Formats: sequence, C-alpha cells, structure tokens
Amino acid sequence: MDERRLLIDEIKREFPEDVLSTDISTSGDVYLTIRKESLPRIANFLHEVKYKTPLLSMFGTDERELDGTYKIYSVFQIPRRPIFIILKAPLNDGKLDFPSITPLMYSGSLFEREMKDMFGFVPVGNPDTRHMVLHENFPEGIHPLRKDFPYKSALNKAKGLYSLHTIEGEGMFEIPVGPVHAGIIEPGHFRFSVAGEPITNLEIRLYYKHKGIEKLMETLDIHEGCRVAERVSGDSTVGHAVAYCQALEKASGTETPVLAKYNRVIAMELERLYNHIADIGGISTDVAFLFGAAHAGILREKVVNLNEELTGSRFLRGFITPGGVTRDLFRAKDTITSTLQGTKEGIDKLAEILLASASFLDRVKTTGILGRKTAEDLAVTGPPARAAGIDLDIRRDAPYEAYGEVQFKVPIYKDGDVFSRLCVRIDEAFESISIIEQVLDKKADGPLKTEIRTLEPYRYALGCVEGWRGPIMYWIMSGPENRLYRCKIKDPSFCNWSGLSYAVLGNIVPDFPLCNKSFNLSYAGNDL
Amino acid sequence: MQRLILSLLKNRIATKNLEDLDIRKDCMEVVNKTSIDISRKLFGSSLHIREVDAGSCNACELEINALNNPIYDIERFGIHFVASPRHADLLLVTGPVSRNMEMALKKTYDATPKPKIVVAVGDCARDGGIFENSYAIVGGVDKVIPVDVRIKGCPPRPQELLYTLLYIMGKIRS
Repeated sequence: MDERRLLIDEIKREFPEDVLSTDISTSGDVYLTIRKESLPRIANFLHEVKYKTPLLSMFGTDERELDGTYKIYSVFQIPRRPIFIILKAPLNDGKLDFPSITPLMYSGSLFEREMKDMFGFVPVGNPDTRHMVLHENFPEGIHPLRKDFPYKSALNKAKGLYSLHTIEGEGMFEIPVGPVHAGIIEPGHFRFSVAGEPITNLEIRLYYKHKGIEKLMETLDIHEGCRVAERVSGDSTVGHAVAYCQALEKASGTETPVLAKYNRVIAMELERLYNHIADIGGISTDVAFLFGAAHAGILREKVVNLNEELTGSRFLRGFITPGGVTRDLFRAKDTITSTLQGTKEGIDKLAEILLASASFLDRVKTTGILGRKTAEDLAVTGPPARAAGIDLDIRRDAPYEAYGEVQFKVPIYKDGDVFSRLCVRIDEAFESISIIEQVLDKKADGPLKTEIRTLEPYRYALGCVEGWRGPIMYWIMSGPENRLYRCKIKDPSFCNWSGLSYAVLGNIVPDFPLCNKSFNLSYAGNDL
Repeated sequence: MQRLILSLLKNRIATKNLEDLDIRKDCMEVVNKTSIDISRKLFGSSLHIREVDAGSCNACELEINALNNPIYDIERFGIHFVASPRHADLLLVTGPVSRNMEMALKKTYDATPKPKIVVAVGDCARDGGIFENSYAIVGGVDKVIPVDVRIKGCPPRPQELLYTLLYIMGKIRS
C-alpha cells in the first residue's frame, strides 16, 4: 500500500488544487477525484511525463441518483506494476462540457466521442465532432446510457448525414469497402484513399453492430451479466467472462477458490491458443499459402473440439461463472495433455515450414509496419503492441487468478510488421501450452466456486485480464437489488483499430487483408 | 447417397466421442417449405453462399468459417462461399439485425438474384435472442427480409450448419 500512498502524494504535490479527494479501494485500485478542468493536465502527467502508461479506458457514468452529477472516469495502469489509477472527474453545476484530453493525448479521442454519443457530454477541444456509435438512422438528441433513457425504446428512423474524410489531389481516388465484406467476416466500412497502388489514407467506420450491450447490462442481475459478457465477442468468450467476474468478485469482496483460479487459467490459455493458431492460418490464407491455412485449420479444430469435450461448448461458453467455474478440467488432465502435445508438435512443424518459405517471408516482412511511437500514442495494446517493442502484459504485470504461480515469457519484437505480429502469436501459443501444462501439474482440491449472494448497492470495481487480443477491461458499479448500475466494457480492439489505420499507410491495397488479419480485431467487441 | 453423407459427417469429424457430437434433431426449422422444394430442384449439386453478419457476436462467423477447414471441407459437397451477393443462391445471415445494419442487409438481399434462399443462423438471428427489444436492434432476421430456414444454437455447431445446408440441397431427406 505504501507505493500507492507515495503515488497519491506525488500527484497531490504536483496538482495541489486539483485533487479533491483520494481513496484506495479494498482491491488496491487508486481513485483520485479531481476537478474536471484539470483532467487533461493530470492525464497527460500520467501518460506522457511520469509513467508512459497507455490510457486503458475512459468512460462516463450517470450518477445523478447518487449525488446529482455525471462523472468521467479515466483508467491508467502503472507500467509493470499491479496498480491501476482511476481519475474521477465529476461534471458539476449541471454542465455537460469538459476539456478534451485529445489535444494532449490522441488516444482519448475515440473515448470522448463515445461519451458524446452515449451521454451527451461535450468534449471541448476535440477536433472530431462527428457521431460515432449512433449512425445516421438514430434521431438527434438520443443518449442511450443516460438513466432516463429506457433500454426498450422504439426509436424513429432518422436520415442524418455522415461525412468521411476526403483526400484531394491529382490522381487520388477512393475505394469504399463494406459494411458487407467479401469474406466471412464482420461488418465495418473501410474507405481507402489511394494514389496509384499505395494507401494514402484509411478511414475505418465501425459501430454497424452496435447492440446496446452496456445498456442491456444495466437491466440485468449481477449473475446474468456473465452470460452477456460471454457474448460480447464470441472468440473472446472466456476473456470477457473472466474480466466481468473479476470486477464482480472485487466489488463484493469474494475470494474465488484455488481450484477455480487454476481452471480459469487453463480456459483462458485454451482460448488464446485456438485463436492464435487460427490467426497463423489466417495470415497464411491472406498470402495465398493455402497449405499453412489448412494445417492451422486442422490444429485449431482439434483444440476447439477439446473445448467441446471438456465443457460442452466449442467456445467454452457457460464455463466461467461468478465466484468460480462450473466444471473441473483437472479430471480430464490426460485428454488435455495428450491433445496439447499433438498441438505443440503441429505448431512447431507449421512454424518451421512458414518461416523457411522465402515467398511467405517476402510477403509478411516489412509489411504493415506500426512503429512504437505511433502504437504508444494510439494506446495500442496486446500482440500488435508487443510486436512494436512495447513490453506490456497484464498476466505478468498485474497477475490475476493463478498467473503469479506460473512461469512464462512475454515475447517482444521490435519491427512492428506483420512478421513480428505473427512471431508474437507463434511464441505466445507455445507459452500458452506451457502454462496449461504447469497448471495441470499443480495439486488442487476443494470447491469449484464461492457463492456471491448479494452485492451492496453502488459498490464499484475494475476487472482487467489479458485476453488473446490484449487487455480486456470491465468496470462495474452495482445498483439496488443485486442489479448492475453501470458496466463499462473495453475490448482491446477499441484502440487497436486506429493502430491498423496507421499500419496500412504506404502499403498496397492488396496487402490490406494481410495487415488486417495480423491485427485480427473484433468488430463486435468494439461496437458493443 | 444419404447414408454416405451421414457417415462422412460423422467420421470426418476429429473427436473421439461421436455420440456426443450427434446432430441435434431439432437444430433446424423450415419456415418456408416451397422455397426448399424449388431449391432442391435448382441447386441440387451446387450451392453458392453469401454470408452476411447483421450484428452477431462473431461466434457464428467462426463456425461458418470452420466449414471451410479440411475437417468439414464444405466444398466437397459442391457448396461454395462467394464474395458477392450477385453470385449467390443462398444468404446465411447471422446476428440480431442491428439498426445500423438494417439497410445493408436489405440491399444485400435485393442484390441477390431470384430464386434465393435465406437461412437465419443462430438464436439471435431467430428473434433477437438476448438482445431482443434493445433500442439498437430491429429484431430477428425475418423483421427485415423473408427467412426460409432457421438454425438454432449459440452458436450452431459446424456439423449442424452442414447438415442444414445438405438438407436444403436435398442431399439429406429426413
């Protein structure tokens, strides 16, 4: 706790008049209540001056029932330390404007635009005033996350306008792609501005899949929330469910049994494993190396079938539950070990073939470079960040569940190209297998879950796990009668999408699918 | 032929417990019988599919994608995923239709030449699933375009998707 006190003292010394109150939650998160005018300065102090820490999330809450104000929360993590700092800025006097942090920290822009749509806050100084979440068909003046807006609203259809950026000049033309794409993927609109072959600008327009998940959460019981969290992004079922449960368990002061912690680690690594294998295959497909794709397809299918055999769901749905897990994977120890042995040999062979193929390497090396500085400015996290030399991994930096008890390496590459991202995934797949093996060797007995019966109203907590795409963050606040009052979900895709639009610059249009696949971002997790 | 396909469906799937993998008998639901009859006449040995995600969580996409891997290997049945609705005989639609995707789904449907079949994949596509009544959702796929067949599941497993598609082609008749 001393480290946290020192940190609070330092920020207080730096900004004596701006910090109104401080609080360290029982789970060790540092909450600083600050004046909204000082938000950009304090945020920039943490991000740029002091810690070089990415903005993990920024979100609004409607706490008018409690103290008559809306609030803005900004979440930071001290690099390589299990300490989360949350800046809490109340919007007093019924005014909804606040100074934008975007001029100082570009990564704040999307979060601010999201709050503008969902709450009607006005980020003064954010250069982009367009709608983001709510497309043209939504009537003006709708702010879904305000408490006086009912979830089951039947809204009229409006016909608004949205203008994409246009790049002008001789020989410049545009290629519009989507929302319905050529492959079997999710919807989103890509607008390429091209002169000849190289991409000069890429604007990505998302939120085609906006389903109102955060609002749905507010209508649910704390236990039901877990089933919805599993369906935020299908391929990150376990990651989202664990992050949700972690927030809930922290808020209610529940300690999960040891056996549950081990089981959760196995499930999280199985998810990472099958997704990374799929991505290795995807990258092979996009350079037309179909042998690699077929090989990875078989390997992935075996892991996914193992998931089904273990839990009854190919995506491990229904396995994670608040307070623990529903089944004990240790009972199938032999099945898991033998399947993973085969998987390990398979990936080994596949990686050897891919990395020895000159034509394959020619396509992936120096393609889609995302430099370290850009990645830091955009708050990019997960494999794309590690491929650009940013050494961050929540599993190691803020160990949760049983990650403190296992040994694993965090692969870091410097070049930030498709090849580096591929290597990060290959290395992490091996590490995942090793983590599962280490956990299976441990002895654990006892119950599989602790019952969370009630949660006092207006308790809040942060849950953060390293999903296979990067850190998944949940911030929940309980309401009366065991309901959720607010649930902020942040999938790593939210910030990484802007990373993609910078990585493709200067590359030729035919390499776009390859760059896209090497990031493999979730549209559903972003759109919510 | 039918027995051959069923055995292929079972044996090519890489798992030990075949009993557990038996296809659920009620995994699909035919809404429009007439269009199935037409399709069996016209698309007996080849079927071109355009997939449209109208708001799913992407689990349905992963399972549809899995049909292309060497284990399910859907192309051996003459089924092919195409890049444009203009080349398609059948639309596989997933997800509760979000307000933001409604127009795109309608346009895709209009761009598909007749006769065409629409298959709603997954529990969300059926009636909106857990997102039913949300301010950002229109509802099940049939709220926007006419649906011929529905597949249940969250998500439906690849075996069940394959089974339904083969049923539509008339290669399985139970």
